[in-house]
Amino acid sequence: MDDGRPIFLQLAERIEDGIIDGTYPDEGQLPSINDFAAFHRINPATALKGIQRLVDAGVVYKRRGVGMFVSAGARERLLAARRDRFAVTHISPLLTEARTLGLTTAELIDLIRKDTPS
Amino acid sequence: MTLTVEAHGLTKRYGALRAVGDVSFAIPGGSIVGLLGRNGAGKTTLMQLITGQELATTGEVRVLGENPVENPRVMSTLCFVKEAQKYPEDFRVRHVMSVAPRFFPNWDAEYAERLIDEFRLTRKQRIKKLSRGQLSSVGIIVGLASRAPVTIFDEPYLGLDAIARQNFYDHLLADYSDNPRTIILSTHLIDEVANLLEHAIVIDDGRIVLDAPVDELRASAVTVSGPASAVDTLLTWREVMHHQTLGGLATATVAALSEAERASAAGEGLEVGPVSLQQLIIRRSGGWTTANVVAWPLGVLAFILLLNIGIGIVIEQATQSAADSGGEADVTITVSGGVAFVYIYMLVIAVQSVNMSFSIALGWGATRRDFALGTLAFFGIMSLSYGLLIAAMAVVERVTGGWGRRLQFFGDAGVLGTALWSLVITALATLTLYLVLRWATPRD
Repeated sequence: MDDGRPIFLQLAERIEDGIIDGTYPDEGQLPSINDFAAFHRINPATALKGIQRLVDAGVVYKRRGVGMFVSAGARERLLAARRDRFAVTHISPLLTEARTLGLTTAELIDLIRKDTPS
Repeated sequence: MTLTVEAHGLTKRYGALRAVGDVSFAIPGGSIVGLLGRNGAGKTTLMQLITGQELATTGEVRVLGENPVENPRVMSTLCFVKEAQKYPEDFRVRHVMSVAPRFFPNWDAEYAERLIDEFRLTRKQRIKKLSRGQLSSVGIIVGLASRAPVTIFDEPYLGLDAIARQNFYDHLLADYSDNPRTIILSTHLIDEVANLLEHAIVIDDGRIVLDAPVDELRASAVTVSGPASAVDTLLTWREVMHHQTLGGLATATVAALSEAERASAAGEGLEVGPVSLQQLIIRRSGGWTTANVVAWPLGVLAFILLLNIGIGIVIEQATQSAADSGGEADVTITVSGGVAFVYIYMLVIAVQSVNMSFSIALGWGATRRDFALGTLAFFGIMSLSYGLLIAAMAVVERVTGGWGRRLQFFGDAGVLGTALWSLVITALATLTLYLVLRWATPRD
């Protein structure tokens, strides 16, 4: 777990990934903070901070004495947010690399078509 | 949040040696704190002060609000696992475990037994016959099973293999999660423990150089690498912690970038990557901050200002006496107003050029000291020479009554003329700075 950004951000994103790919379904229970800390070998306070971020964003909610659960509709909202950011996070780097390699946009589109199962 | 360990102006001297100098910090309760630093930085001395094993020369230390020295209440809350713990001559592992409850009221015997097995120790083994790594294991077991509200590990894993170290980290985290307490971990294996720590205190030469949450530290810097020209553009006006070039490529460690800056850097073909805590601490200890880069040229310019005000006064005096002795009284040299403008302009340009050339100088392999001395020498020589130039021009102007009898730079050149001159002088100065640095700095 390391791409230079704060660990708690990375943890929050991992959990978001898990919600998006269905590992943690809507209304499903999340592992505890200590489980996350032990699994990723990170400080429990850091894990708490990452989860708190998701709680603040309404993606996850806490039930006192029971644990943490994925909010209803969290997956849809996360998907929408990720789609909004897709151009910045994926398209721009793709175009930059394509330019470096001398690929035209048309050639790039061809490549994408070829790689997309119809 | 309660504070468990606090220090105010803590200093420890051994004769002439200052082991810890004027250190102040506050460790919040229930956190894992890293006390990091190089060998001989003063880590152990600091821990001995915290645990009341050494008396502070000046300043004070408080553990749970009380002075730890000769204080049984504080002692019962502390567990200090030393790098080289001494045990009685004929002690065996099981003796250590049976004695421990007397020192640590929270001792968990069952947990200690489990740890003995996990660290592959035999209860009957004589402590004297243990290997270095096994001895470290004994210390770790005592530290973990003590469950002391303030547990301090001083380089706890000397001679421990990678598996045992990982074992230690896992147990530390798991047990800390179940039984939150304050853990101070002193180490130089920074990257191994980086993710375990909530807070890092970095000590160098007896002083605290960094005291911040690890998350904040990690977010405070990034490395950028890519085409040298693009990297150099990005470095302008930034705090540069490290800079290295290889052919047309460069890598630099700089203060954190915003999302927009990251995106534009990516657009320039630059790669933005992480800085490990270890690298960050190496870069930061004995670091050269933005403040230094700005303060240096400012200091040097103040020196030039004084020098040239002196020259200005000399010129005015000379003009005055020339006029008094019946020379051409209508030629006046107006140094003060115009020259002040030059200086303000120079100040801005010089700060910027030093700031920019700093990363370039580092890229050439110059040390910070070389850079500082080079800058000083350059500005000194430059100020002297252009001071003399101004003086010479003023004299020529005075003798001839103006350049070609029409153009007077110093008579009534005004703001525009002065600005033009300052521009020329600055351009020459910047070029010279570049050449001097290039010539003066060693290359590999």
